[in-house]
Amino acid sequence: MDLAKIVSVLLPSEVRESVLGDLAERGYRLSDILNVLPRIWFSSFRRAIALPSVIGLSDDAAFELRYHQFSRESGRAMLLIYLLWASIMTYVDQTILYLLIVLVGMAAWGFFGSRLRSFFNIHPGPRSWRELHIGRLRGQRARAGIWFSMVCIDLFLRTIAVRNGRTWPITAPHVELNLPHLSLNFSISTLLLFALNLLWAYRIHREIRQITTPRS
Amino acid sequence: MAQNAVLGQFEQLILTAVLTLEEDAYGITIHRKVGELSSHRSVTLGAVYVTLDRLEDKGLVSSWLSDPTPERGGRSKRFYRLESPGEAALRDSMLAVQRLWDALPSKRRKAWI
Repeated sequence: MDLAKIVSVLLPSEVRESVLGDLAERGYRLSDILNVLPRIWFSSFRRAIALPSVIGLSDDAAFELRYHQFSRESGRAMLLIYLLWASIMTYVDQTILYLLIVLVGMAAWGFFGSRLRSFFNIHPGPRSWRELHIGRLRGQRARAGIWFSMVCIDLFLRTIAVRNGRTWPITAPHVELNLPHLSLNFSISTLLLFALNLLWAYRIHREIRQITTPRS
Repeated sequence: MAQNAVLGQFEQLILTAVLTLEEDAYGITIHRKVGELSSHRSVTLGAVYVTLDRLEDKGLVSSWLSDPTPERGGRSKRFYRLESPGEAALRDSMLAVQRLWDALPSKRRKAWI
């Protein structure tokens, strides 16, 4: 396999053509390749998480585009977050149960998802795509915030229980479980997971502000 | 009135290169021109790509892919063009530098040239 093919595989698809051509023009210098690859990936990653410039448009068609784009983005983000969580839990608890849960969830979503989406998909009607998009963003932000708060409370209660050497207040006072059942690791890894969720919520929050703040 | 984007020194170099190259502004030629303009420091190709991406995100330049060219192994070139916000930002930067230069004592200016 020659160098061009290796570099071609290593480049992000959106810039592959032009960057490979440029590198070919300079004779595939190793110093160029080593310098370009990490920077190109960094730039590609930065662009992937940056807020879309389409929101700057007041045209409702741009919001329709962004509404559908956001649906895909949030689907991918949630999938990644849950896969990460399942991987951490697989490592912590030495069981593939969590991975199986996520895989079954994904399969169920793949099977029923389109039917559910078509059932709940509401045409804007009197509401504009802008309003619909803001509504969905706010919904996601609220959900992420609630999840994060719940996990924080859970971790707090588990910490108290571990310090007291009792499973209350996790369980009812008359039900005592062994301490290992508290699985503090579970809570910590879940908290890490929902910290990512919170990061996602912060990005959504920025997008809401970008849309709703009047431009000068 | 909307404020023009504030440019860093490297961004100024890239925009100047794109402006002077006109119809022939793509990765390699921009890199070469930036190297000429900043004779005192080495410029890497990666830094040029990253800055061009950032300038495009800011709406200061736009890009498009050309048809495949045989001399590059059938690969396309990504050409860049300065957009009007980019031109305005570059003009503001140049004027700011000019004002700083004019503000220097003439004795100092002569010593530096």
